[in-house]
Amino acid sequence: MAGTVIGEELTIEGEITSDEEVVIQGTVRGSLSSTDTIQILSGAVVEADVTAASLSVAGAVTGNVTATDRVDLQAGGRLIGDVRSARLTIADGASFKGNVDMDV
Amino acid sequence: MRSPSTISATTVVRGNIGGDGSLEILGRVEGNVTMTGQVVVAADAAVRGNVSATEIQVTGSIAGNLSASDILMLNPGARVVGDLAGARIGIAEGALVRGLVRTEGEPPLAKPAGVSVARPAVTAAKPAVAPRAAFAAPAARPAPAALPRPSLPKASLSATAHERPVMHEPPPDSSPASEPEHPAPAKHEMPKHDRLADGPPPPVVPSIKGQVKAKKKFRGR
Repeated sequence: MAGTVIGEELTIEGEITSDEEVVIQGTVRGSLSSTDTIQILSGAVVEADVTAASLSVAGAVTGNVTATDRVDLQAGGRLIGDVRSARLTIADGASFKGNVDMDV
Repeated sequence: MRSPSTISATTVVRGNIGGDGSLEILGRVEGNVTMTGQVVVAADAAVRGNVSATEIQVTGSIAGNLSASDILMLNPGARVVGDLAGARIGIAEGALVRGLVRTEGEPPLAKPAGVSVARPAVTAAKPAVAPRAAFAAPAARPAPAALPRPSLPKASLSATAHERPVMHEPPPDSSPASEPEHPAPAKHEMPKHDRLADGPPPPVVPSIKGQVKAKKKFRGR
C-alpha cells in the first residue's frame, strides 16, 4: 500500500514532507516534498513546489518541480512551472508551460 | 470515502487539513484537521492542532482540542492534552487525557443499527441517575420536618429523641428508659422544641427546666 494518500475530497494547506511514496488525489497548497516517489493522479490539484526522487503527474500542478531521478508528465496531466530533473518525459496529451533544466 | 486518505508514518504535514471522507494519520500533523468523516490517529502518530470530525479514533498522541459530532474514542495508548467534545465519548483504560471532557449534542439520527442501539443506552443512563437523587432528597427532609409539628407530647418527644439522640440523651444522664420518665418537663419543653425544630437546638436548652426558672423567680424576690 502506498505510504501517504491524500484522497479526492481532502485539502491540505501547508507543508508536506515524507520519506515514503505520496499519492495525491485531492488538493495541496503550499509545498510538497518526499525522498521517494510522488504521484499526482488525475483530478488532483497541486499548487505547490514539489520535490521528489521521482514524480509522475496526471493531475494539475502549478509550481516549480524538482526531482532527483525523473519527472513523468502523463496524458491529461497539466504542469505550469519550471522543471529541474535529470530525466523528463512528456506524454502526448499533456500540457506543460515552463522551463526545463536537465543539468542535475 | 472512495479513497481513504492516509498520512503515513514518515510523513509530516505542517498546515491545515480539511475535507470529506476518512483520514488515517500515522505520521505527524502540525495543524488543524477538519473532516466530515472518520479520523484515525494511529498509535505512533502525533497531532498538534485541533481535530474535528464525525468520528475520531485516537490511539496516538494529540495536543489540541478534539470535537466529534458523533463519537470520540480514546483507545489504550492515546495521549491527549486538550479538551474533548462529542455526542458520545469513550475513554479506554490506558488512555491519558488532560483537559475538559464534555458530551454535547445528539448523535446523528441517520445511522446504521449499531449506532441506534447504542444511543438509547446513553440517554437511558442519564434519567436513571436523576430519579435516584430526586428520591433521596425528599425522603430525607420531610420525615424529620413532619414529625415535630403535630407536637403531641410523648410521640413527638420520642420521635425527636430517636432522630437526634446526641442532643437529648446527655441531660437525662440515663439509658433509653429516660424518655418516658419525665413527662412533666416535656409539657414545658414542647413549645421551645417546636420553635427550635427548624434549626439545630442548642444542647443547653433541655437542661434549663422549670426548676431553673423557679430558682430565678426566687432570686428575683
